[in-house]
Amino acid sequence: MALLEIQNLTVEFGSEDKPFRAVDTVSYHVDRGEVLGIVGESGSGKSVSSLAIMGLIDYPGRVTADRLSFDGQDLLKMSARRRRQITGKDIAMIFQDPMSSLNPCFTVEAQIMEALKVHEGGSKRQLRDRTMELLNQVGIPDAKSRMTAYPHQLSGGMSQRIVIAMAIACNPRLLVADEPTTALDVTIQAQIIDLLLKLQEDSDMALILITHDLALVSEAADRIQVMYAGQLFESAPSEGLFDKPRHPYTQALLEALPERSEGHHRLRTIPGVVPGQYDRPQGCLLAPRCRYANDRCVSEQPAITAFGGHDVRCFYPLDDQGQPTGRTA
Amino acid sequence: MMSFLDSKPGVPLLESDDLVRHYTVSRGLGRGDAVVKALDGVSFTLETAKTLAVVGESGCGKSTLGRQLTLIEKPSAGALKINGAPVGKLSDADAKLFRRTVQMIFQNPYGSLNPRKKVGQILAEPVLLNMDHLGRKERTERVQETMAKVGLRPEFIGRYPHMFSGGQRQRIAIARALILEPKIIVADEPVSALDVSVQAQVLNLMMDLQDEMNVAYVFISHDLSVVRHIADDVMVMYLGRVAEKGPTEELFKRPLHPYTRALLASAPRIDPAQRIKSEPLTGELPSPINPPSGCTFHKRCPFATEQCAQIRPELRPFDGRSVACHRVEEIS
Repeated sequence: MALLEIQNLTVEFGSEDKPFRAVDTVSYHVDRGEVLGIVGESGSGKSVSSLAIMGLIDYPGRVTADRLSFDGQDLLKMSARRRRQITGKDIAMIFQDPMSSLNPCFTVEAQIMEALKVHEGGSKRQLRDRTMELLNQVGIPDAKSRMTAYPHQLSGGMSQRIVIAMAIACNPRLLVADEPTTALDVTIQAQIIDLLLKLQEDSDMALILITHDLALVSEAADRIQVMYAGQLFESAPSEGLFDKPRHPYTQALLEALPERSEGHHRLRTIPGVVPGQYDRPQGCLLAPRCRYANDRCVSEQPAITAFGGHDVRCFYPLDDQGQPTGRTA
Repeated sequence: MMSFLDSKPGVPLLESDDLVRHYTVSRGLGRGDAVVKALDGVSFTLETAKTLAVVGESGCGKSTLGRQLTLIEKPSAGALKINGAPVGKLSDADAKLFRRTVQMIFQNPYGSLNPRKKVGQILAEPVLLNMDHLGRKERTERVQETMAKVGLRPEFIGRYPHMFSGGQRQRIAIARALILEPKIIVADEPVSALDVSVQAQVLNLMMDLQDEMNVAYVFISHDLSVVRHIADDVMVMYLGRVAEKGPTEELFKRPLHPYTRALLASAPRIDPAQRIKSEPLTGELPSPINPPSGCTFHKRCPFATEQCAQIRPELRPFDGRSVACHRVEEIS
């Protein structure tokens, strides 16, 4: 049984009669010990969907789902109190900007101990020992003197290590990392990703890695999902997605990368921009930007189907040669 | 009359000679000021219609360099020459002309455009200040011409910045830099705030404009794959100094300086065959207030020896490039 199972998760903002769907009937699952990558451009709903899992969407946002279960328990049907015991303990999250996710008024020690105190309890001494252990685990040099440091005394990479320490404090079974390295330099990024993957392997924890960096997920994740304008567009094992993308959007995204067009002067682009709140097209959300779109794409929304080992939301998924299949005119 | 703006054969368009910028920072009550060596002796040349990329981690001085080149700040020491003429010795009138020829594009198009001005006003302002012989009608024509050049529809002239997407805003910023027909554009992380698909559009635009208008770019970036695509030459900086400098393809194919190698190895790649498996760099960028002795990289360098901790390596030519490393012969 999957650790996290999501069926038709929808997050809406705005008024009841004119809602804006930030996340649109997204279904997926995460297995134990698996690294799932979620990629997408800004506005694709990748962050909002993870906030919904954590129960961090406040009014006026509305979260609905046919099923949102963690380890067999439905998170949406349980009491708020029971849910809080799970989130923060069994499901933990790391946010993008380490500088702003730490409280500037408290020491590192106080902040990590708070998480432990709420979920695990124990004497102050035990808590302090455990905190020390955590700091060593996330590779903070000279942990003893860092315990009493305030966030402004730490560098970006160091702060992100503290945030990770806080997240893994209660041995979570699922860690959601939302752009964990976007605010960091490449050499530090490599260190942090190595650390996350090591922790994941050591404790057989599942990891959801949300990022806009295709190269980063290709190296880290077992399975990758591509999101666009709130919808899931393609889901596939890591190698397959980059070798043989089945969705035209994935194909276009890969072609737009400078890495993929070595030797060419011009990059291939995707015309236009991700549709916003007021200009969502009626049919396939990609239709105005897709090079293969026809009348059917403009008027009708495709459903997710299995094709070539991938799950694809497209009427004409791409074959091995990167050409759309089943398309007439 | 020969102006400093006329190019002279054999003389580079822009030359930086040992450029230095130090800042003094207060360390609090009762303690003396400290000196941050943000830029500590950087030399390079830039030719017409070429792109020089400046890469490095945050705090390595790449943005400080951009500020010196555009005369937003005055360098503490060293000389900047345009077509061989020292910029520091220009008269006030000539300095104004210099600023016109060196324009800047900033990283964040959400912060670099005044939200209370319409696109037309934003773009007309540089013309108004620098080309006062133009009348209102000619000015508007020039604005619309430039907008067309960067792919913005002329009817957008009355819109405010908030009505545009990130990519379009960056086009406005590019138009603003271009409208005075500069010879050099300093672009400080121009695509790092944009999504992949939009990033490709803006990069293509920048390359097209270079072909069309013969403008030279100083392209400041931390994204190595973007740099590889757009740059002719690359300069890798570490803690205010140049670690390695050379033609793009050679530098990417065979990085010489240990820091360049680490930087390339750290960057994630999609193609498994392209991935360089090596131990990630340990430690973080040292504080520029109190940099390590000798080679500032020696504490993170896998090849460091006693000599590296003592003596600072100078940039020297090696195999068609410049490298600042004592052991480059042994490790190459």
